[in-house]
Amino acid sequence: MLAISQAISREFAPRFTGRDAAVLKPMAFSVRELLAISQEISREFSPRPVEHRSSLVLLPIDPRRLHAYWHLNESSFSTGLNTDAKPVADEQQSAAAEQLTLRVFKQFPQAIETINLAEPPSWIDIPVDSGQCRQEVILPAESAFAGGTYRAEIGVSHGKHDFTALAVSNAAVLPSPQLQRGGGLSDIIAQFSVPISPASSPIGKAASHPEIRGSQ
Amino acid sequence: MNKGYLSIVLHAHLPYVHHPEYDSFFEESWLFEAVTECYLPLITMMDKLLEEGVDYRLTLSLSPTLLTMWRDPLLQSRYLHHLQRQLALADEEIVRTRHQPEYQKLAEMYQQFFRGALCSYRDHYQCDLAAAFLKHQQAGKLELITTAATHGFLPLLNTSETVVRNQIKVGLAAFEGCFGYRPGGFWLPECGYYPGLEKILAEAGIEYFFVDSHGIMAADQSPNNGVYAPLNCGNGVAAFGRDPASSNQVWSAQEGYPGDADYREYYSDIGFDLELDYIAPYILDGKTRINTGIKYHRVTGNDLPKAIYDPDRALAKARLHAEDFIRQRQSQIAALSTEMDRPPIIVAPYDAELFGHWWFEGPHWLESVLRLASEASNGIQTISCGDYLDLHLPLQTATPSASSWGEQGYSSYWLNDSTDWIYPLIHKAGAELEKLVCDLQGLKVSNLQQRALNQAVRSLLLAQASDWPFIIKSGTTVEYAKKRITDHLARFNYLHDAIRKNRIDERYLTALEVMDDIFPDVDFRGYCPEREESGR
Repeated sequence: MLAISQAISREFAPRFTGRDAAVLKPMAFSVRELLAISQEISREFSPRPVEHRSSLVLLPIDPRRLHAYWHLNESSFSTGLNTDAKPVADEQQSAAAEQLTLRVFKQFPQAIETINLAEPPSWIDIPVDSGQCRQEVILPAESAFAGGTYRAEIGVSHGKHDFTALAVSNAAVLPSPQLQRGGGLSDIIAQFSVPISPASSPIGKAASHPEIRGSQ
Repeated sequence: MNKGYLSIVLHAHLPYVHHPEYDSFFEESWLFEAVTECYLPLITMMDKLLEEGVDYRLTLSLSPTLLTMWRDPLLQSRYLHHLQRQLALADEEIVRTRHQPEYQKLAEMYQQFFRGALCSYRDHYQCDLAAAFLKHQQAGKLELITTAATHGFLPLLNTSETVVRNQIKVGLAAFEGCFGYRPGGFWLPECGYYPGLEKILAEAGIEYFFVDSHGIMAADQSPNNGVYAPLNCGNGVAAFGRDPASSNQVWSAQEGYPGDADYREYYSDIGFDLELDYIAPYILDGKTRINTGIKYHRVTGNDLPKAIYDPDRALAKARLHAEDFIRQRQSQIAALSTEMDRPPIIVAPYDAELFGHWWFEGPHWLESVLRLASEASNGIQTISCGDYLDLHLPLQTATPSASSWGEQGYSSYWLNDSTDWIYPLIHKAGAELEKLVCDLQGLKVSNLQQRALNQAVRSLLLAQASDWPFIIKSGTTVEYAKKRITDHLARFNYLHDAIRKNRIDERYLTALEVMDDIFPDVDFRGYCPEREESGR
């Protein structure tokens, strides 16, 4: 009976209904040749984050945090510096006057000329070192900065209201920080629906990746 | 009469690990362990339920990388070799434990287990696991769905819609190439969602996806039914939310079933426990200790002597835990039914590899859950989310909140101090590919150029896998994960450079096609946004 069962399974097991299974390309290489090619390419073409033009990218981390990374090429950086400015005797004062700055906007960048100076700014300025190329942005606790869409500019700040943007980011959407536990929900539905913890426990996440425990 | 629905969703995924450039490669054992301990036991369970006519519905998400590895002849032959070695070790163990009857009984259990796996894999299913699952889909028991091509974490690839679209479209095409149809459901890698993703899913013909509980609870409109009814994202695509309670009962390190003292201990493996001289032929290079799959102990406290595993006791506990799980769903459904205008649906998604691999008794627990749920008197009906949508109940329109099911609930597990170097590199490569493809639009492309372009897409997709930052953050096989990212990007750079300079070396290209032998039907033209616009 076992032999019959196995024969039927062999002959009549369901097959892929779509295209034929991928046909292995003829192995015209020895293992050593493949390895040599792989190593040569890895050595000669290793990735480098070099860009020809200035760029700024904004990524969402969580309701209160963004990650920004950027590349500024030499020419745009010198363009941003106010080379016509009068010489300042105090070098420290000069450095403070021209500070590389990451400006993060809620929603969309506001044109400088439309800013009402009487209102509190709708952006935050983060001074960054010119040697830096990435920055984690922790948003202020005020509700005005809760969730929503953000953009950023990186540029040179020449003083309180003078900012020259060198690169503008993409839009990054942050989730709302508050769970809407109440609004319209019955107590019973809310009680069951509210996450016990906001995410998988460590054991849960580890389970999808055998390698996590494989080395123990 | 059923008062509520239970939708159990298993997501099966492993990163693409395929190294023909080595005679053997340790990380390929991730797949081999999962086949023996998880995928084959799940198939055996389904075969049994089908044979006995048990009425159930289960959803299984199969990642394109996993499907590719299942079908790869090199990995199939290496798996058979791995299994033969496990059998040989079990044979040796039966001899070694001849004066320890309790251990010998377990060694015999493993011998039987590996023999069963070999028989099922090689003889019964002809090394074709996808066909084994397809049989259950065709029998109406299983709803098969898939995920993004290489399990890219989409919220962090979203600097380009083309990149996200390509992950989704290539994933669906790989599934279709394997099974002959397009799935209605889509597993977002790590449940990573951002508002707007539903638009790309709709374009790809997807009807539903899953988010974690807080994705629903923090939606832009308060969800009237909490996570117990899907939301219509506004374009007809439905979002189902994970049920916190049923997740916690299985996932939680503290309260979860798998931590019960009667279950088998994953960490106590003879690869680490026995004398090096004895175990050397079965470990890495004869000197680096690794898991062998033979484990003799049950879950025991950290500082206590390990207690021996009792399979009968463990299986009895799995049944008890299944009863408890069903009981808790019943009380949940009873309470929810009084407040809802429709039967609640409890969505319980888990990583498939938990079942059998980490939680050895997991497949038995699942089998018992499905059997119990099939009894009409229990008031629970197992259902797939596709079936639920076919009931045509009106859905509340709201957009879920950006979320993931990772630690902290958002993107921080994939974007942090240890992984932030990855994103400038993969974003840059994505932009370069997009520009290259756009530049070639309207130009005649030779067969060799087409092959190089398609291989460049494969290299980039493989670099985008969420697994690499996950491993780096978790601190396990960090160097391997970093190397995979930089190697795939180097391969991309090489191809990009060769195409731009029109100096494609066919021999090198073929070598890359052999090493990264995935997505045979990929079409580089999908990387051009203009084409996508005109195609809609």
